[in-house]
Amino acid sequence: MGKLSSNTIEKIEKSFVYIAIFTFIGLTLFPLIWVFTTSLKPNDETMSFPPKLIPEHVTLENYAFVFTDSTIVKSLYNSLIVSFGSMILNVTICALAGYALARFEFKAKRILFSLILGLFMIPVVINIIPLYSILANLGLLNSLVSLILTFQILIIPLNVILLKNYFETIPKELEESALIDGCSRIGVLRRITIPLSMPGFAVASIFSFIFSWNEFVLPIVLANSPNSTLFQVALYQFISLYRIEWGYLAAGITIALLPVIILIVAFQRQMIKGFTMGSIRG
Amino acid sequence: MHSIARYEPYLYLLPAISILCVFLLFPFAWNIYISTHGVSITTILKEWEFVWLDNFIQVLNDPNFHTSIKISIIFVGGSVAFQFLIGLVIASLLNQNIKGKQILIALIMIPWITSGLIAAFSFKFIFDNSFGIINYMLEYLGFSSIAWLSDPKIVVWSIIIANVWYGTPFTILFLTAGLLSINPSIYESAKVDGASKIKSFFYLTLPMIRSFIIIDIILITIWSINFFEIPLIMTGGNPLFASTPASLYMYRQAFEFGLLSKGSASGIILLSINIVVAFIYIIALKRRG
Amino acid sequence: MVDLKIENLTKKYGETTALDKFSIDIKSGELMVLLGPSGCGKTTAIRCIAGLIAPTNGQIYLGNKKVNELSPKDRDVAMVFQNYALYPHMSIHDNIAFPLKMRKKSKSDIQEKVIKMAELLGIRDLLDRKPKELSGGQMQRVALGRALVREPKLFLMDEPLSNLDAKLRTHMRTEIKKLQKKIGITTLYITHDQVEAMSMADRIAIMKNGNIQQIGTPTEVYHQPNNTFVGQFIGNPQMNLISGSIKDESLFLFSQPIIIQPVDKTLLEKKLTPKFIVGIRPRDVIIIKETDIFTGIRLDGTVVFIEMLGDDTTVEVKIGSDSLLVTINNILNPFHVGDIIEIGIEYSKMHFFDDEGTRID
Repeated sequence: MGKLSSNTIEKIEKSFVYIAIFTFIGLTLFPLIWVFTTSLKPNDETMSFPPKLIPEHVTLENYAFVFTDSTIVKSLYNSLIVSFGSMILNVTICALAGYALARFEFKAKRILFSLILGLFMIPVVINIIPLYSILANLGLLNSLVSLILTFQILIIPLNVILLKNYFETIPKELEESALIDGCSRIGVLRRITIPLSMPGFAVASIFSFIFSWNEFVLPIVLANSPNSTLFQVALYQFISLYRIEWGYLAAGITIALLPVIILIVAFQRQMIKGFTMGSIRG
Repeated sequence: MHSIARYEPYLYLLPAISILCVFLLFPFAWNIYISTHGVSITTILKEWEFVWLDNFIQVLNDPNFHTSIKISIIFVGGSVAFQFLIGLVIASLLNQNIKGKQILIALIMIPWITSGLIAAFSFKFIFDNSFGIINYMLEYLGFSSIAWLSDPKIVVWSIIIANVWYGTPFTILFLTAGLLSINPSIYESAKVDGASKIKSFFYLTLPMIRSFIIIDIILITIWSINFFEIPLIMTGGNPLFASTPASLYMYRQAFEFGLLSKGSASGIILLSINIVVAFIYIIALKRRG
Repeated sequence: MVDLKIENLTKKYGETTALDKFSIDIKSGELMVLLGPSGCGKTTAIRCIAGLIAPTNGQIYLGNKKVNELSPKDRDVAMVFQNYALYPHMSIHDNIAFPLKMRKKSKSDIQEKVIKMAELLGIRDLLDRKPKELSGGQMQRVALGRALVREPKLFLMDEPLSNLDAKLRTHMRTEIKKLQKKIGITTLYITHDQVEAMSMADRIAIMKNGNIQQIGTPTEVYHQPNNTFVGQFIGNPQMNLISGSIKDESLFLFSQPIIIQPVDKTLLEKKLTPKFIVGIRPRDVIIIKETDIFTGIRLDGTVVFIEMLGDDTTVEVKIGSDSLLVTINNILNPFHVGDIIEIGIEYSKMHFFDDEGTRID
């Protein structure tokens, strides 16, 4: 038997690579797919044994329940407010900070930048007890505004780095050229910098939306009254309130996943790029 | 115009820095204050009594805390080892010349962008003792079913599996970025020099993404130390403290038992662990670089 | 049309001085080229003039008006950047119209001027495109159009051709020169390429370490360089520098001295320092054939390297421990490496510099 040609070896190698990757993706997505199909099963089928991946009777009754439960609906509404509010606030302050770090030379630049990076290393979890104590003593627990403000500490460092790096990809000469062409400083921002930064703002917005939408520890500690519950917390409370109603829960999880999946499918290219910019070049 | 310009950058940085100070730095200091007083959920609005280091002594003498440190070590060690190894293998495979890389990466990212709650619930569901798919499959294959969430010896591995599922995409993405930073002509040159793929992986690829590897390991270690959503939701830390890492211990003291100060003290101990770990890594980074 | 007058312009960044008492007068309608190696301060100078950075010291007059305190938009200068700085989110039309729009010109006025400028530059067909769809040369034209459309008082160009390939660069430099003369705009042009400077400039200012070394027409700076730096920076291949001294009416040349006797009288009349430097351009060195009559300095040397450049050939000739570059017309391969040849230098073609490099006349 002769030697295998290098071409054949390469083909075998390649199919091996594909098999490995697809197996990994399969394992990765399996739990979520399982949850999703469960959300479509009627209640008696949810806990049937042996379990079935594909529901025998597809039903939307679990979703109907979730969308008619007033606590859940309220929490969904709260989550949207907090996520969008936190996103807008975050992109605004991170854009300002990132712009300062990208475009200006000033004495404290290195110190302030290291401070922002260094604070990134403080685990937010360590702060939940003092934050609870401070907000409790100020009477600011169970407030959506408190949540929006505290969520900022999760995302500021990442987005400052990301936007700083993004601004640095916009040639300084464009702004200078506009100054010479007759723009005021504000005019340059309005006509050149902001329009050109839109893709960066988009990625930063997506990141801060996803972080806020997914956050669980801060809201469960700082806001667990029925009026201020966020969606993730409401799902957690299913356990105690309804025993574990897996069908409802699966529907809730699917709803919680939906915006995130949509964002990542729609913006995968920009997000991977933004991720790389934010984490590597900083 | 030039004199104003001198203060301009500081003005732009002010909102970000002040929010970080109010919500990150100040609470950080406040934590120390709480930990030296006797505060519980019920007495939080009353006068606080100064108790020196009582809380720390209580925590350090608590057998449950000892358990939680043991759990933390297994949880962090297992999570980091598996996340890193799986991440490295998948990232290297993705780095081969394959079609549809973007879409594959997007699919792989999905666990990372779900919430800890979703990760925990999904695994709680498939690990369920009576109707979970995993036990069904074990039985179908002729094994006996395992009490994933209630056997004190097993439960820590269940939360590790969920955490690895949740965290590995980050390592894949991060190392993929590292691999992309390598100039492909280096591999061509190695091929001309007669190096096999395996050899060029160990002698070229790994050394060249070394800084990515170290930073990745630092990040996933610190995250694993502090991350407790998965055990909290999957098991509540139960049975007893068998799936309670130190971070969850802190949470449970404060918000399950209402002992804010005891929680605070364990938080500060947790932070010192973080600092020690970060320090060890930094030394490792400097010594070998 | 106005002239530009700069007095003692100085820019310091902390301890480092980027620009040191830079003074220059540019006449109305003149094309002045600022030439120097990278880091010589030429970019700092042009950015101070545009108003993008504030000088530490010194005055800038445009016409008779001091513009130091004016913001860039009020100076009425235009600038073309090395990377063109076309606004990527605007069409070519909007790019060219941008300066007019900022000056709140009427729509019909803008339309008319943009079309006229586009026709002048031959980019009429491109107006609807975006910058990223254009080639380097086209982007260059758009950048010129955007700068010139509002008829500024002063036109600044910062290495505008360095992103183009060699052939296009040669073409564009002629085109820019013609355009500048046609419009008659006062222009300050920055480059590190001496060929570009020589071919385009009315006058050249050569810079080094934040200082101007010499200002003059291309002919002046080529034939009468102020110092060895200018002598070597201008001309290709660069000027040969030979150490020399005079003792007892004998001329000693090279580091392993060769005695030249008798020395030409014109040399003794110069105020030469005890030790000095002789500059001779490769093109001014002659290869002497046996039959030639030659009255200048004659030297024997060994050919160590021959570089064929197309029209010319550069020959490196070793004399003692020094080597001398000689440019000859490309006659059919006259000799080979290792040949011993006789070369000649005419006294009138020699440049003299003192041991610090300053010209001696």
